[in-house]
Amino acid sequence: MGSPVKKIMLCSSEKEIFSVEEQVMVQHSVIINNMIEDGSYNHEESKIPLDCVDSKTLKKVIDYCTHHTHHHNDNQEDLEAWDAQFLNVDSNGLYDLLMAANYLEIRNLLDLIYGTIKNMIKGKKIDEIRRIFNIKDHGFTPEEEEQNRKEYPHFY
Amino acid sequence: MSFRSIIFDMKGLRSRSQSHHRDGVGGVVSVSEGGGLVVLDGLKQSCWANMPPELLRDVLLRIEASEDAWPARKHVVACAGVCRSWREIMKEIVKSPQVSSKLTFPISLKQPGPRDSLLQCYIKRNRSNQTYYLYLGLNQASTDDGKFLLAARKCRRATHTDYIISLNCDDVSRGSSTYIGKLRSNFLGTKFTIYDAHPPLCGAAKVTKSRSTRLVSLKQVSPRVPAGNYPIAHVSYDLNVLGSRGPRIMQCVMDAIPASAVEPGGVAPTQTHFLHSRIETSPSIPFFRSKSTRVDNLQLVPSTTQNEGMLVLRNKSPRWHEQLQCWCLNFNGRVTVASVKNFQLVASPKNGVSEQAQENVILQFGKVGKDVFTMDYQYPISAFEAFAICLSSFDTKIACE
Repeated sequence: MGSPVKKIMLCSSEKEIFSVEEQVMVQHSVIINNMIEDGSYNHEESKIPLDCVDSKTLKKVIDYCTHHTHHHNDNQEDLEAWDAQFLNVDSNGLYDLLMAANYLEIRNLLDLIYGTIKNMIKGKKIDEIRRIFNIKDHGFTPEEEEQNRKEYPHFY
Repeated sequence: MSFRSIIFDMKGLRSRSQSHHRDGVGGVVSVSEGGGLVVLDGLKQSCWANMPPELLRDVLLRIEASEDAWPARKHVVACAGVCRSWREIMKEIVKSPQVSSKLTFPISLKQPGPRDSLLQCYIKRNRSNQTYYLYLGLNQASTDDGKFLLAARKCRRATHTDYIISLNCDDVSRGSSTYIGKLRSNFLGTKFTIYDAHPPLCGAAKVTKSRSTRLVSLKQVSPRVPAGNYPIAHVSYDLNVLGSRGPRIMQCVMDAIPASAVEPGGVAPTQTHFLHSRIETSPSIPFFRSKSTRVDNLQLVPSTTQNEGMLVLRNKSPRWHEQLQCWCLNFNGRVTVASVKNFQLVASPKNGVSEQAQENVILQFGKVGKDVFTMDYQYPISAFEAFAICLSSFDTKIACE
């Protein structure tokens, strides 16, 4: 297609506008693909408001989609290394990415995040998992927590 | 606002295109409405504890599916201890051993074993402290590095012997919160009753009625209610015609398992929903007790209405091997040392069990070393019941002295 690259506008929760190649988002995001397909996105006027995705996260998501669109022919190792670097974020950042990927339905990013979470949990004690995911309020009563610790002494 | 309308469009699209993640999206939106751009630190801290259940479910599903075998499976249990929401979801995901052939949470020790395959465990005896340890075998060949499941300590009393059974290998006492039941022998060591510390299915309703739902939900993972004594099975030993030199005759009456459970499509009560049962009301299988049992109950239990016959197990009779000059049973290589304690239990023909169902070995127990025994069990009995039945074989006095 010789015509100029089609762009779409994404608007973060901070109302910051990101202009992205349409193809990049269409390829990765089920939701945006659907919008383009059924014509509910108007290229002249529309912006897609992503009220629950902040700018920092949206930028990362766009990075991810862009990289995977333009580098999908790279060898597996390079892509994996890039993914690992990409997800080298703290647990709050990972959570934001998970929410955004889920919201936009970016399946391969979701899978990547799930795998990362799994690796973060594997082989860890409960206290460590709580620390990693910053879970301060576990929601158990003190009695329950005490009982849990008694029943599973090797898990804490 | 046009942005809004697009959002609504998006939602509409989504529900048309696929519905699986819809709830998750709803959750995300509400999170953003609550936190919005200025996410409070307090809210942020526990985002992983308060994430949309659909998403959390997807995360935990992967974790559960990633490890089938112990000790790696440990992180499934760890996840359930992280916080309440993780626990709720994880315990929904983890299926009972009957379906999954896997042991995960302690409650699975009280649930019927896998159908159509024997779960291979072993028991180690420590003579010095009179304690028996049940492990899940991790590989067929050796009995090393098993996953600890249950411990039992022998307590001799004036008129009987008790085996206190606990989830905790370091704390085997009646008062402990990890006490889950016991085996009691009569004075002669010929008749035994297995007691569950927790009420069987329908009894559970009463005990938990006054408890908060928060507590109830915890219980589905760890089977803990005030310890009681609910007889659930009776084991009896008889001499055969050859006296103490011949094989024993063994019979187990499983009070809480209907005989029909061993037939194709049969159902054995499962304590998964243990404390849920009050919501689901009238459990399909009532607590069985029939007066027709031939075993003398050590404990007097008022007989309730008899609906259906309960399951009776008997040991397979060994055949006399002329060359070896001993009694033989085929344990498929799982038992290596001849012992009077070795046995295989099958369903007895009592209460209309079909011939085909009588073929199936439900529990086998036998010696493989000086103080090591294998214990393989399957549906419809639980690891707890199997362990208790095996303990009775240790204690039986009629034939071994």
